[in-house]
Amino acid sequence: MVPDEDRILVGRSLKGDRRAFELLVKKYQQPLFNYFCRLVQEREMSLDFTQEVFLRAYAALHTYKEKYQFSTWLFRIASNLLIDHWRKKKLPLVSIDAEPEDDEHRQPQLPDLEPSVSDNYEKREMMERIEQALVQLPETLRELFVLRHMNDFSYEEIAAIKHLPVGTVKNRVFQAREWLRSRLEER
Amino acid sequence: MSCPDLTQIYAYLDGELTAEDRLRLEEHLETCSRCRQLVADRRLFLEASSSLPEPDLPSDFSGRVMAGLPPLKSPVRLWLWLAGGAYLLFSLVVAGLALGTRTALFPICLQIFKNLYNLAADLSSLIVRLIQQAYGFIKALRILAGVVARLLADVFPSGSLGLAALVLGGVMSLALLWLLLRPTNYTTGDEK
Repeated sequence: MVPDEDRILVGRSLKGDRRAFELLVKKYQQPLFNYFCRLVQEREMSLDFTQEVFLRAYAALHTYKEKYQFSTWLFRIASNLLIDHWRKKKLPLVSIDAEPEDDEHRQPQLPDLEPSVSDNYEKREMMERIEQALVQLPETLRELFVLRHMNDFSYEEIAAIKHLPVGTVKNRVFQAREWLRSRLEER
Repeated sequence: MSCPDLTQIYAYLDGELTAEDRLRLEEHLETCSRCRQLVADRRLFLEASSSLPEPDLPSDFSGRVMAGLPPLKSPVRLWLWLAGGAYLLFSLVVAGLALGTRTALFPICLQIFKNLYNLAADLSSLIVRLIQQAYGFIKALRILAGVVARLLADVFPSGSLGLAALVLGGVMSLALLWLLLRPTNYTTGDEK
């Protein structure tokens, strides 16, 4: 389904066609559930959050502007819900809204000698290790990593969802990747 | 080419390098086993990261969402509110008058009705006068245009006046064409 079809479905939903909104729910329920499961780590809560995103989206559907992609609008609602949840839990969030001065310009150096991860693991085993390490990744970095790798958003789309510069998103995704990869070396 | 840094390697694997940079990096990889190892390593890591299993969603989930949907909010339309308000006011006035004529409030109701009638009559005459003023203004403009045209016809011979009008029209058309076709640098935000 292409984004233009999303817009058509939104238009029909606004005219009271609930079947059109149901098609949007069916399209985005799994990506949203993946997102919450990786970030909240509790299945029931992830289900509740996924449902809550659709309820909020439906109630605010008249505020959706067609110049944006529906998927980024929907995930912006999801991200705001998640931030509220983290604030209530009083997690020590690393702010990604406040951008460090040298954030975009830090150039990671090539490591001198690093253990080869690809020699040590088969892909399946590596997936299991990534899943285990992902839980320990700081939430704000994990969110960007999940949006990139589990939800397959482009850097530009993530930047639109998080209201961040594209360069910052790239840098944070890079940090998350290298943080996770470094955990795979600890065998 | 010297060894690329990790951001370049990730940009290569993300397909974000330009064709020229990609070729240069691939040439380098042919000669540098260390960078080849780094790329193979990160490629496997990225493939594994993007292939993590999806958690199972209950089969009736979409039904549950649809059952809990709130009433749809439609955009607030100002004209709808105005029309509704006017209708309500009119209904109240009519109901009040109908009720008032049968009670001791008759004189007051009658007075209100008279005032409303006078207000409507004043508004009507105001609108009529505005239309008359507008008509007079248009008439004055027409006379003025006629006078200017006669003056121009007296000053210029009829042949050159036609030529001047033609040149002026041509210049205006070209200017309009340029305005419509000139290159713009407008961005479209995060629109895709």
